[in-house]
Amino acid sequence: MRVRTVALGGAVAFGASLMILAVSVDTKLLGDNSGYKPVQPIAYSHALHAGELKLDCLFCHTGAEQSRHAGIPPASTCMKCHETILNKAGTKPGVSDPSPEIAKLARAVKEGRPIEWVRIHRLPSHVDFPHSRHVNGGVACQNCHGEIQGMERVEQALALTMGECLTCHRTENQKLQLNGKAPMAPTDCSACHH
Amino acid sequence: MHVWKSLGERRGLIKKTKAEFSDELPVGESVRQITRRDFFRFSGLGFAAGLAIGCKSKVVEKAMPYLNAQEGLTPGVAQWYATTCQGCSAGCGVLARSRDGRPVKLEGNPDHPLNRGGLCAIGQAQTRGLYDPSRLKQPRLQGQDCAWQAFDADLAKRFAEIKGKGGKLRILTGTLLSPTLKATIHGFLGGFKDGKLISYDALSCAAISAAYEQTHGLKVLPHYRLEEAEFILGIEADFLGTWINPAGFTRAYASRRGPDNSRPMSKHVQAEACMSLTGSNADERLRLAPSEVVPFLEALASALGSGKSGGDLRKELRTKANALAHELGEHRGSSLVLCGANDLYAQLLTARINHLLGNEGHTVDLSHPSLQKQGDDPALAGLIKEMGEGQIDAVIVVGANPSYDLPEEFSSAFAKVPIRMSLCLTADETAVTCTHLAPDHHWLETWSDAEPVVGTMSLVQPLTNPLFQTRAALESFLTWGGQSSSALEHLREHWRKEVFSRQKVVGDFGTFWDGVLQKGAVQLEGSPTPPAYREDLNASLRARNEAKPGTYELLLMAKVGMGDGRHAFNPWLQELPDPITKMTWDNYVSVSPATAKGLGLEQGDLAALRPQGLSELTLPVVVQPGQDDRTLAVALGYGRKDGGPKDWKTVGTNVYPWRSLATGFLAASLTGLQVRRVGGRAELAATQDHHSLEGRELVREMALAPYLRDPASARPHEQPGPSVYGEHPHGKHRWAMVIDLNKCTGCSGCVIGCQVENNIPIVGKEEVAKKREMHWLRIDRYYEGSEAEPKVFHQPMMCQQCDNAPCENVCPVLATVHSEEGLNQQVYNRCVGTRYCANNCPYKVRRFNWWEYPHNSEVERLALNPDVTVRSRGVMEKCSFCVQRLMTAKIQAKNEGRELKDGEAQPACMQSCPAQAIVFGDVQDPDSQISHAMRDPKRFLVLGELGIGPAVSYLTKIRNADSTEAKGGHHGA
Repeated sequence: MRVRTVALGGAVAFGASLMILAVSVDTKLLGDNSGYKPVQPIAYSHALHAGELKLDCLFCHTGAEQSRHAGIPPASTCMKCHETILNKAGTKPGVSDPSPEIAKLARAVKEGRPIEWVRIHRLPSHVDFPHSRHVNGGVACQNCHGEIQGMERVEQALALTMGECLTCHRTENQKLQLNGKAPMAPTDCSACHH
Repeated sequence: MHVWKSLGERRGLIKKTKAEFSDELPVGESVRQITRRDFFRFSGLGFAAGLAIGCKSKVVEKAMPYLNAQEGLTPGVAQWYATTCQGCSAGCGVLARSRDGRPVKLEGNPDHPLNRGGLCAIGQAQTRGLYDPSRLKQPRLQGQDCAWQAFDADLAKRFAEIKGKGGKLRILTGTLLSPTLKATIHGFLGGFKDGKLISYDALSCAAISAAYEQTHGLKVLPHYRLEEAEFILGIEADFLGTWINPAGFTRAYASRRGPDNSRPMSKHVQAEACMSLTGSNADERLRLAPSEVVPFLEALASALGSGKSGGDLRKELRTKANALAHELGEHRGSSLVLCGANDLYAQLLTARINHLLGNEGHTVDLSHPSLQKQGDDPALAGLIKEMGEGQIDAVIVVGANPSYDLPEEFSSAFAKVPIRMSLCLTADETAVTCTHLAPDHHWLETWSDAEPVVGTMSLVQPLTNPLFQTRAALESFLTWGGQSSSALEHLREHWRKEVFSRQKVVGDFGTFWDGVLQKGAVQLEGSPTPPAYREDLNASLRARNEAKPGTYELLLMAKVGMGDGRHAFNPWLQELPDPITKMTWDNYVSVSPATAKGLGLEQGDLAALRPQGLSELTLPVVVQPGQDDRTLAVALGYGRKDGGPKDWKTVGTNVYPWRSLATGFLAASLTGLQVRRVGGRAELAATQDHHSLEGRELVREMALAPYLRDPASARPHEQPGPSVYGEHPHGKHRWAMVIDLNKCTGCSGCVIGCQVENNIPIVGKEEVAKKREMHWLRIDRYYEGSEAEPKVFHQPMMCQQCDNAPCENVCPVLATVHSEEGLNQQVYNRCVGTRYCANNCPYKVRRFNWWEYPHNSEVERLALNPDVTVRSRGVMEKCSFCVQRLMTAKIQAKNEGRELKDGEAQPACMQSCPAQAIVFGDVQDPDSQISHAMRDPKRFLVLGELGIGPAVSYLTKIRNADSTEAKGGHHGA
């Protein structure tokens, strides 16, 4: 009976793949999530922080230079500014910002509850993408993440497919200059897949 | 030279498999059962479902950053902490790699004086014990889970009662490596009128310290310095595999096994009954029944000028003893006699022989004695007697499982104690008979310390928060003793008072503490006046009874990987092939080929064994070349029933109940054994007969003397075969590996190191029997010579990363391709599972995922290495030279704007090797270690004649024996 179930499951999968094929023919590749722009638990604006206030990306995404993950800053990092620095609402240092979005942040810290952001950029688990090598190699964040400094709500700009990786690793990266020469980017499979 | 892998192959019994990969994927049946109608019906359903899912939004994945920034922790960056392994009582230093707050890999600490960078299989497998879902999750009172507060309140009442009436409390432990815990326990016992601490070791060495008490007036276990020994005689002592300090001994031993070192290569003679890992590495090996150990030692002592020659001894052994005494005498002060028999007379003789040879202070260190075996068997016998008489009010068991590993009389006496408590990790055989269970932290969750050898001190620091509601033993005893300090505070205080004062190098305690914490260990002075030999050398020693003629002897031994059985529920260790028999998931009785023939036994038959006066047990037979004809051997540590997962099938048979304390010591050998064949056969899961040699010779050996006369003569004469392909262009690096067969002992630490690093699944006994084990790195064991007295070779075998790899050009989907750094890459996401590559691989190192191997338990999953993909069903996999580690090292060097240093990128096998037998690196750097190794005249390729250009090569084994002539494989001398 179990084998039969498995086989019929196979039939279901076959149908589903036909469907996926039909959809992908005129839209985009399977796994291409470009345009994904979910609502986040806090309406954090990159346009304000990175665009208008010109905060460096690495100011908050501190892992990008050392780690494979750029990282999302801990709420305590956000609060360092929002508790001490004057902001748009004009409240004094030490007084929490009255904006309802920052109130959410303050509440999370007070209650000891980490913020559950909705993940946007996601590579499959068989891909190992080290942020540190790219950031230190002089690749701008915008190369993969789009014009993030203009985004009110973050949206996935690129498809993040292997083709995009390889285009850069083969040719585009030659435009970069690192210590006066173009960086060597590997195209070996095992550089990313292991 | 004719080498063979198994008796079956030697005798031509293994049928050549015509279609080696004939197994069908197990899906064919199911497909045949559906009709065309069914197929379309269900396809329609799938289409509709796909449409429905496709129109809805995607699966939402959450990303949760820390709430508060963690100091020094960057998500995705590994952190390393120095701590001390507690997998056995050897106390090796480890560096633990932690990813995002959880330890995922343990590696030997190069700064620890004992193991100096290597780690054994048991040590490597320790993370599995941390992430064990069957661990106790909270204290238990009379079989009921409860909170610590209620538990402590109940205990306080009971301790007060015992104190009130002046009752007796006993604490029974395994070897306590932690001086702080020992002091704390003594402090706690101070509150009782009659409280004692008794230690024992399941694999006991108590007779050694008892012998030194007689000969030197001090109860010590010497620290043996194999790095100083030019001539080693091992008698029934598996010091490279399971005895006292295997990783440390291996490192010291291997440091003297190179024929090209500045100090001469050591000579190793092993006398033993069953082929042990140590015996398999000896230059000369002789078979000796356990009952012959004492007469043999007596003959040796007598030939060295002390005492009468002992009782009956076979003539050839007597001649051998005289010859050995002569050779030992030529190495006064640089020889070493090691005896593993837990027998007082044998150990008195061994101490006497080492004294006669002037080895004390050189190879036998009594200034820095070992604390790795603190068991006191006579005290244990006393405790059992007291318990049996109903005198004891409470027994607290710490880090031991006596109901499992002690003779039956322990359990019946233990049941008479009113309060029985265990500080254990799982509900083991002892715990299920206890009234109180106070679960201890796993050592990766706790603060503690260790002093494995006097003067060598290290710290144990936690790598993660406790996973469950457990409590460190140190804190438990502090609480019960009425102190409220934490383990860390107490430890620091103890070190400030007791350890800091023992050194004069650092003036300030804070600096001293931080230094030790960072480095992992500190070396302090030992005793300036070691005890001296004081026994009368002419005092005659009583020999013990010999076996009755016509019956067999039984040796109860320990197996590499399983040890005393405390990690029996660790599937990594169960699936680790025994280095000699290559058996997995079982224990068995080893019988010599001649004896098996005499008894009408064949491999896999069931045999009933009954030692004199003991119960009968039935075990499967393994016919073991090199075994003594009078002795049968069974491994301890199997047959564990309590403390594992619910659906665990008992593995093997527990033979601990056969041991007794009759001689005062836990003896490992029994006489008067009766053996009979019973009907039926057992399925044994050995990796040994998998794959055939096809008559090829894959290992090379040479004797030391001709090698030293002309090292160049070791060079293989034939050139590697021609290739139809051109040279591969290589980029900046070209990785290669050389494995020195002189150093490799076959200990299998690398096999587990590789498994942990690369998320290699466990397949279980049935699948191993179907040749579907998944180890990327296996150790091939070859025999050469006669069945009775074969020579043994160990050869680690993994993907050879061939330049013109035969696997690459048969893959229809380019899932295995060459990298510009010389790696043969396996791309899981491309692989469709044709298995053509495995079929075409001459080394048989490719592994296929026949099933979706389960990673169901949330706790178990924490042991996975996040740097390596977890493979799914239908995908081929194999050794990658730990490319994830190469990438990490390369990225770090590039980020720091510098070149990669030689030795910075190390595959897990190389890092874990206690013998440092593996050299790996970039051959494009002419000064690298690997480039030097590549120029070694001893270097040879396995199957070099195929012309496929493997990147892994081996160094010819040089034996320090006169009889061996230069012999080699096809392209040999």
